[in-house]
Order: sequence, then C-alpha cells, then structure tokens
Amino acid sequence: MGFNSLVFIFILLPFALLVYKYIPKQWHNIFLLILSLFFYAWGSAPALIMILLSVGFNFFAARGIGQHIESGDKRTARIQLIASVAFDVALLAVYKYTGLDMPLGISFYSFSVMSCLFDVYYGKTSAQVEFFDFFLYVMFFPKIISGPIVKWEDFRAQVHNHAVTRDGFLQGFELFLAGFFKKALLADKLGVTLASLLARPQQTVGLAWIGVFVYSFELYLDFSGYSDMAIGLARMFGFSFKKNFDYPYTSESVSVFWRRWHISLGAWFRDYVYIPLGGSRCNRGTQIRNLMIVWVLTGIWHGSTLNYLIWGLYHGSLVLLDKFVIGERLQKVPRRLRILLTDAAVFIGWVFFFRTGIGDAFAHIGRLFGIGAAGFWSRATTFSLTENLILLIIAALCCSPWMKNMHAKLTYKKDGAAMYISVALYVILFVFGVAGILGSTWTSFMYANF
Amino acid sequence: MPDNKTPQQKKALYKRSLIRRHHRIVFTAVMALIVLLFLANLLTPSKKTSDAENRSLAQRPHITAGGLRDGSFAEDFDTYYSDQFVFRNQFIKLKFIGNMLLHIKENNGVLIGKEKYQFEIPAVPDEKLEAKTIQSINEYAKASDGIETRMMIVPGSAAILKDKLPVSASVPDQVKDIKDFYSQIDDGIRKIDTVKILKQADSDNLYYKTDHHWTSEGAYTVFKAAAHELGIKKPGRYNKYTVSTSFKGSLSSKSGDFIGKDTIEVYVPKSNETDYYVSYPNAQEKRASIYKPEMLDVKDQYLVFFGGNHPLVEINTTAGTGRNLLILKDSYANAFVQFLIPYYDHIIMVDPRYYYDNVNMVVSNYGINEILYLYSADTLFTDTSLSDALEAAADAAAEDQDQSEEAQGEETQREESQKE
Amino acid sequence: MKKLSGDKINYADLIKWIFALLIIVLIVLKFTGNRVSNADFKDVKKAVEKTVKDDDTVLDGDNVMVKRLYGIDPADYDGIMLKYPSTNMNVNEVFLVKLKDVKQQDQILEAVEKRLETQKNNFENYGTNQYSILKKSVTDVQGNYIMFVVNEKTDPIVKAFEKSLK
Repeated sequence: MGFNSLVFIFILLPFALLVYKYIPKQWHNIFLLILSLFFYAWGSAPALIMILLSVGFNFFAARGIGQHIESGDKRTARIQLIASVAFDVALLAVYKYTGLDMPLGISFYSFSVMSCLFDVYYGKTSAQVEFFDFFLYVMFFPKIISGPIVKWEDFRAQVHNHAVTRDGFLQGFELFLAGFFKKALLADKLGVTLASLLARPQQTVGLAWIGVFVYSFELYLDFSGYSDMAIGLARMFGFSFKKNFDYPYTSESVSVFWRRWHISLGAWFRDYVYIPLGGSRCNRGTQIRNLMIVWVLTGIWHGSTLNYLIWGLYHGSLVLLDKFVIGERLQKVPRRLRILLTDAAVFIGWVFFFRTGIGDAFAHIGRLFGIGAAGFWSRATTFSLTENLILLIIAALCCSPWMKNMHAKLTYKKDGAAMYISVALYVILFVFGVAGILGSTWTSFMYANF
Repeated sequence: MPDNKTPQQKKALYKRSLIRRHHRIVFTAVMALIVLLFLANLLTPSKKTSDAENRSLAQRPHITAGGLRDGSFAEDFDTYYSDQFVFRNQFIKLKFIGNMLLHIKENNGVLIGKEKYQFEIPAVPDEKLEAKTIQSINEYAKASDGIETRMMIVPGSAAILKDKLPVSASVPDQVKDIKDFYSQIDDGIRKIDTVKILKQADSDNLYYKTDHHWTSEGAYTVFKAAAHELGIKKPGRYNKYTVSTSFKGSLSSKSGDFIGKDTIEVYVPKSNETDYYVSYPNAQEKRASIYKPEMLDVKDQYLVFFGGNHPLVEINTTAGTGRNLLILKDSYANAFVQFLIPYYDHIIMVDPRYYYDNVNMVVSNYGINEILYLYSADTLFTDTSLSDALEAAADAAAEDQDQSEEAQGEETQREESQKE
Repeated sequence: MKKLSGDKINYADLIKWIFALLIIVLIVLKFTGNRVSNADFKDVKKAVEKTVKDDDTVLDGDNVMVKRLYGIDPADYDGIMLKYPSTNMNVNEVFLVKLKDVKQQDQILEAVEKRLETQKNNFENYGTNQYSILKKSVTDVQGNYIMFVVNEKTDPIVKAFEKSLK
C-alpha cells in the first residue's frame, strides 16, 4: 500500500484516525503496530517474513550490544556491532545487486535498524532496547516505505511520549494534503509527459533540456511530496519527525544542497559514517577520503547500477571542489547566479537517474551542449514545451517558499472570504488529486473485451 | 496571565488562531468528503461492465489463504476498489479537464486538437511484423491465380486532418508508412490511393471527432473516387440518412473527454433493385439489413454497422453480377460495405483476428473471384492475425497439394499395377 | 565471539545468528525458485518433441491454433510449441512456452487452466479414460519456461524438458 492509493485514503486512514481517537491511551502503540503490519503486508505479504526476521535479528543484536556496553565490555560490543551492521549491509547488497525483487522499503528500514545498533553502541540511548518499541520503530507505517530515515534515539524519545495536540494534528493533516497535491497533481503528470518526451525519435538540444527540467521537478515534487505525507501522517499520531527537504533548489552551493535534500539520509551518513571516520577533524587527505566514502555510499544507496555510482562521485567531487578549491570565492558571485549554477549542476546530475545505462546518460548530457543532437529545436520540441510549460512554471514556484508564503499572505487576512476560498481550493485540489489516481487505472479498449 | 502582550504579539496570536481555524475547516471539509465517498462506495452495488472503457470491471475478490499469502488478494482488491469507485467516469472527465487547464493536449494516447477533434496517435509500424504481412499477402496472391486482388489501406485522421492537430504536435508519418507498405506489395495487386483521395476531398466530415473510424461520408468519398479501380464502372447514387447525433466514440472513452459528439450517417442505394440478406454463421443469425439499429442505444454506436466485428459475415444479394468478393478486413470496412451491395452476388467479410478456420475454404465454398484487403493503417501495421491466417491457409493448401499428389501417386500406381 | 571474563554466554548474541540463518535460508530459496534458464528455445523444443515423435494422435499447432485453443498471441512470447489432439477422441497435448519476461507466468497459467477446464468439460460425461488422463496433466513452471502436458505417461516428457533447460 502507498499513501496515494484509494484504499489507503478512503478506507485505512479514516478508520485508523477514528479508532486511534477513541481507544485508551495504553493501547495506542499496539494499535499503531498492528496498523503498520497490516499496511506493510497489504500487497507485500511475501516481504513481511523478511522484515520480521530482520526485526528479530537486529533486536537481539541491539540487546546484545547493549548488554556488552552496560557491562563495560566495549570491545565485544564493537565486534558485535560490526558483525551485525555487516550482515545488514550484506543483506541489502544481496538484494540490490542480484536480480531478486527487493522487499518493500528495505533501503529505508535497513538504515533504521542500523541506526538503532549505532545509537545503542554510542550510548545515545538506553542500552536496554524494549522489543515493542523497536518493533514499532521499524514497522511504523508513515515512514517504512519511503522514509524519512528517523534515528532510533529520536523515535525512542517520543515513543512513550507522543500525545496528539490539536494544532499538531491539524498541521499534520495540512502537510499530508500538501504532499498529496505535489505528488498527485504535479509529479505524476510530469512523469507522464517525461515518458513521451524521452521517446521522441529525434532528440534535439531543446528536448534534452526540457527533459532535464521535467525530471528534476518531478523527482523533487514526488520525493518531497511523499516525505510531506509521511511526516504529516506521523504528526497526526503525535510524532514529530524532522523535515526531509528544505527547498533544496534554492541552495547557493552544492554543499548547501546536501543539507537541504533528503536531509535524513545526509544526517545518517554524517552521524554514522563520516563523523566516526574522523569527519573534518583530520588532515585534508583523510577528510577527502571520508567525504568520498560518504558520496560513494550515497550513490549506491540510490541505485545498484554504475549510473548511480557515477552520480555519487559527481556530487562528491562537486562538494570537494566547493570545500577545498572554490571556498570563500563563491561568495563573490551574486546570490541569484550562485543558485542558478548550483541548480544547473544538480539538474544535470539527475540525468544519471532517468537515463538507464551509462551510454544513454552521457549521450543525453552531451546533447545538452549540442553534442550528438538532432538539431537545436524541432516541432516536437515545441510540442513538448507547450505540453509542459504551465506544469513547469507551477513546479518551479513550488520549489521555493513563494507558493506557501503567497498562500499565507492571501488567506490569513482578517476573517474575510479569503479563508473560505482557500478551503474550497483545497477541496477542489483534493478531488482533482483523486481524479488523477483514478485516471491512472483507466484502460479503455477499442474493441469490446467482454 | 497578565494581558500585557504587545500589539505584535497579539497580531501573531490572532494570525495563529486564523491558521488554526483554516486548518480545522480544511480538515473537516476534506475528511467529510472522504467519509462520504467511503460510504457511497460501500453502499453502491458493483457494476459488471464499463461502457465507457469497453471492458468488464473487476468484482470483489474472494479471500483465500493463498491470495492473502502471496499478496494477490491485496492487488485484486486494489483493482476492484478503483474499478468500482463511485463516480469513476466523472472523475476521469475531471482529470481530462485538469489536463486541459494545464494545456496538456495528450491524454492517454489521444491528442486533443482544434474544433473538438480528437486524434489517435498513429502507431509506429512494427517492421518485422510488416515484412511478414507483406510476404504472406504477396504469396497468397501468387497462389490465388485467377482471383482479382485489390488493397485499400486507410490512413487515420491524424494523417489527413493535419491542420486540426494541436499546435506543433508531431506524429509518426503514416502517409509515408502507407506508401512504403504499398511499394512492397506485388504489382499484381491493385492498390488504391486512399491518401490522395482523402487529402483532396473538400469536406469537414471525413472522420469522426470522437472516434478513431472514418465517417460514412469519408468512406463514400473514397468509394466514389475509387469505384472504377474496384471494377464498378457506373457507381449509382445513394440516399443519405442520419441515424444518430449523439455518438461518443472510442477516443472520447480513451481520453476521458465526454464532451464532443458525432453524427452517424448511413448510405442506402437510391435504386432499390438489389435485395439482400446478411448471415452471421457464428451467431447463427440472419438479418435483412447490414444495419443493426439496436446498437444506437449502446455506447459504441459505430456498431450500428453489422453489430461490430465477426469472424465471418455473409452478404447474399440479388445483384446477379457473378462477382463474389472476399474482404479481409478490420472495422473500417464495416462502414464501406454499404456501398458495395448492388455490385456483387456475395460479399464475404472475414476478420482474421477472430476467424480461425481456413481462408481457402471460404474461397472455394463461395466461389470467390475477387479479394479486397480493406484495413486501417494502424491495425494493418501492428497486427499479426492477417499473416497468420494467410500462412495457415497456404500451409493447408500445400498439405492438400501433398495429399492429393500422394493420392494421385497412389492412384497412378494402382492403375499401373492393374494394367500389369 | 568472546565470552566475558568468567561467565555468562550472551544469549542475545546467539539468538540473533539464528535469525540470520533463517534469513539466509529464505534468500537461498528465493534464488533457486526464480532461476531463469538460458537454454535456447530450439533445443528445448527439440528435446520435448523427441519424446512425442512416435505419438500419431497429435498434430503440430500453428499460431492460429495456439490463439484458438489458448487465447494468447504467440508474438508476445519468445517461443511457442503446440502439439494438439488430432481428433475429438484424443487428449494428448503438449504446450511449451518460453516467456519474454517472468512476469508473463500468470497469463500462461491462466490460459492453460482455461484450456484444461474446457477439455475436462468436454470429456467429463462420456470419456472416462480421457478424463482421467486430463486429470493427471502436468503444468511445469521453470522460471521463464512453462510446459503443459496431457499424456498417459507425463514423466519422460517432463524429465526431458527439465533436463534440456540446464
């Protein structure tokens, strides 16, 4: 099940909210656990066994490590930590690199379970890991499928302390809706036009650029939209998760970009890989090594093909460039230009995501600069532009706080009609969003198929 | 709490209460909508088929242990829930409207053009498949000595009504594809240049706006101009009757636009000298007319011609011309046959997508002396049934030949042994 | 794995490896189940045909026959072979398919089931011998190859099929 499925929105969500409101407080977590198990098993029943086994493995690993820490045996704790993390990583690698179907959410829950092992080892949380807390942490349905990657210590701090406030609940719901709109109204439509755009036989320079823009916006809106829905949902049950995206396309440098894009992943690598390896507190050579390790890992986390590795190295190199070569000089460039350059670098990087195979990826990048293109512009290019222009403009506006601020400015005036217009807008957008979901299941046959 | 807040603090608090109020109303409104739709879904009975989508709709899946275990129950339930979702058709229309607002002109493979014209994007020919089809047609013609063979490939509206396509839309060049196809067909088969005829026609009514077929007028335009090539020296006159003004065709269904409407006309020969009846062997049905008026009550009114596609349709006339025509076809022929009735004794229509018997049997049973291939370009360039059927017929013929040669061989042997 | 100086075995450490073992077992099972064969369709076809070459109750089925009996389009698959009963009184049949994609398994299995049902219905009331042969039919799914066999003796055919896939 996903968040923008009809069964979730119209059956599971209202049911869950209703039951949660009226059952006694001490049953809350158990209910959330059962809900999460159901949510995961729906459509992924075979994968359920794997995740349950992983929960078992990692729970006892955490227990063991905790016990060693408590009794002062840091050495054994360390050995067990390395062995367990190695097993988790190996499991993830096996799925990624052989053709096997990956269990739903394994890229995310693997990082969750490892977070617990690390946090216990480093003493960030109590060495005693409670089973049901851990179980809920791994399976928690708002975040299990696509994150954000919440650290064990953050979840642990709230698991017995997540009272729902009215403000929090309502904000959560708004965020959920905002994410839904981003995904169902913008990202999905961009995805549809991208496919036909990339399939045009004559690829011009114009098409190459339009493709890059369409995908860059689609990826951001899709991923951040889903994160919004996840964080919003968690909020409705009292959990506060940190935001996963902070208007990354307004970043002034690639280093800043990585503090605004998929923030939970960056934080995970920073806290569990970069800093333990020494981080920035060592000589330049080691620093560079540490950074490159993190970026190689970032690349291969996103995908198992060479494209993703190259993408990771690409960003790693850019960050190194920014940190050690350009440094302060970048400040001399006007702010808007800095943002533009950063966006250009990042957008071009996404080519490795939507073109499978290194050949296709580099060919596309070449075409961006006129190499190997079938001309600069064409009729088909104009058509692709007109098909996407309005979407692209709206998407661009959503990449900065402009949309949100404008909405707040226009709506929260003195008790006027503006408020009700905004509500009506939300309802209409919601209906259009549902129409979008239904539309993707619409199959019409030219000749009767009875 | 002492009320010594600064004006700014008061303003901030007020704004916060506004925000809270806004969020509350949004939540109430959207959640109410969700609950209403949930109840509506619960209380509405399941539909069996979708007229709009031309297919049967998924029904509630049964809960089985196996289904729960491998996740197929969940998948089937998801499909069932979306298939049976209340107001499904209206939601699709809404999606279409949303796309129109965003100036997205391509909906589900259908281009939305000017003057409410909808266009199916022409299929890109499958070269291997095409080669096979061309080969089988050529070989069949060679083996069919004495049968006059003709071919009529009809382009789709996107190839002819280029000025009605949405601005700067670019579609595969079907005109060129038809030309290429024709050039590989042997000279012994007469090819009709439908593209030229349709391009030169000065009419706004050659194709339906909401359907992928040509109109009767489009078909008539081709008939009139090509009659001579079809061996009809003096084509007669026809009376035109409008049978529907509310036709919403296949493209409307595919794209989700239910706004446009088309008119269906039929052409009946002015002189009513020729009587005929139609026989549908697979349905064991006989009719006195090629039109089925009851089809005007269903969604796909184009079915008024013959009720759609059948494996084989027999038209027996009193024309007395001695000409027996076999048409190997797709649904485009359904609107063309109405002009042919006064000129043939028998018109046999075979649709290879549904016909599994031997085409040669048709030829011998009905004394076929003329064959017409009447296809839309889209179907012909992507379909395998025609080549399959022709190859099967050729194989069967070869086998018969072998068997009869064997039998002949045995006979000659017997005769010779008798002589001795 | 080091024990603490002097005593307790850490049970948690041990138990986690039991889970690890179960995970490994699960993965291995998944591997062997989905194995795709690289065998050439021509070779598999030859091997299977050999086992029925002396059966004169079956005929070679062409594309039209496949469509008619199974309702699938041969063009969608990598290779199809059909041997179907020559008369209304026989039921011997071999249907061999090489899939383009493992995901096509469901479609073929559905088509085979329908075909079997149709045949069973035809013989249920008056052909007890044929009916019992139909009931013994075998549908062998091997990753990207599927074979449906109706025969008094299905074993040699199935064995030849599976052997040719290596």
